[in-house]
Amino acid sequence: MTDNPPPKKKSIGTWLWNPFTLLAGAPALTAGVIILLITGALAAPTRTHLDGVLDTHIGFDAPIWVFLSEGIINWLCLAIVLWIAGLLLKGPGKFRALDLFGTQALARWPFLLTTLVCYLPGIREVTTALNKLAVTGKIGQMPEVESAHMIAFSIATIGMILVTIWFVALAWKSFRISCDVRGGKAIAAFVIGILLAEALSKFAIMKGLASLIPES
Amino acid sequence: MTRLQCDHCKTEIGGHYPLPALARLSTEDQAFILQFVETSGSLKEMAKRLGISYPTVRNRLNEIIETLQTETDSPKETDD
Repeated sequence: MTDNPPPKKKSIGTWLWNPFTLLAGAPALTAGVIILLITGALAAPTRTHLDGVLDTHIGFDAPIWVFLSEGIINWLCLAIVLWIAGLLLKGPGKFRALDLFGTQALARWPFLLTTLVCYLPGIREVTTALNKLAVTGKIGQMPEVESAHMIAFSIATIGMILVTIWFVALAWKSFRISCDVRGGKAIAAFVIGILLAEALSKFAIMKGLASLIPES
Repeated sequence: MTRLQCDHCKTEIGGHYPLPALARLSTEDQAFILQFVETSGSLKEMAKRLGISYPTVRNRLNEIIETLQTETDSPKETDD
């Protein structure tokens, strides 16, 4: 006799590291897009630009739609590249694009934490000082800022690196589960895909989006 | 399976008899197939019941299909 398998445990660890075994499709897409928009809205006041699939830079002031668009561009670039990779590996009709696009949107949620970290006091002061040094060609010099601000900036930088690693892990799990791909070919396709999407998103944001910003 | 017995006359026949493909699956896989039948093959319904995502259910089904195909291609027990 066989018993029905019990429902999978929804532990915090699963939600943090493997959420797509529990959530995919339309609910993931809805939640993912809402979080992308919230992230963009929260990034605007601190001028935190997610200007590439893997990038975070604190820089120039821009209208809020630029920050909102950056998140959407990053999401679509990686999702489209991985969708094509999935089609090449598995063939058409073998997986739902909705699952891949939905889980890829949700995989970007850790960047919400990045935008929150940028609200730490001192981050703006340090980045402004670093930008001034860069503009004047004094790259490599220590900026003249309070040491407490420098410590906050260092913590934020480490946090951003961890968030990026976390995002890559989630993006891989999204690809693996949504397209049901495994093995060396899948890993190679993902690595190439994420690098290609990074280049595409940089191009789309730097050349496409930046050209739409009115000069003030 | 190596022995068959008649419940009525208790006659026994020895030999090597292959189990049906589904019976060769693990207990967990058999339970999954049972749910699949109970939900009329609706993966969405199964995902709801099991509290897991649709692609996770579909991937599990793909794994079972692969296992069944492997069993069919190279059965462990064959007719004599």
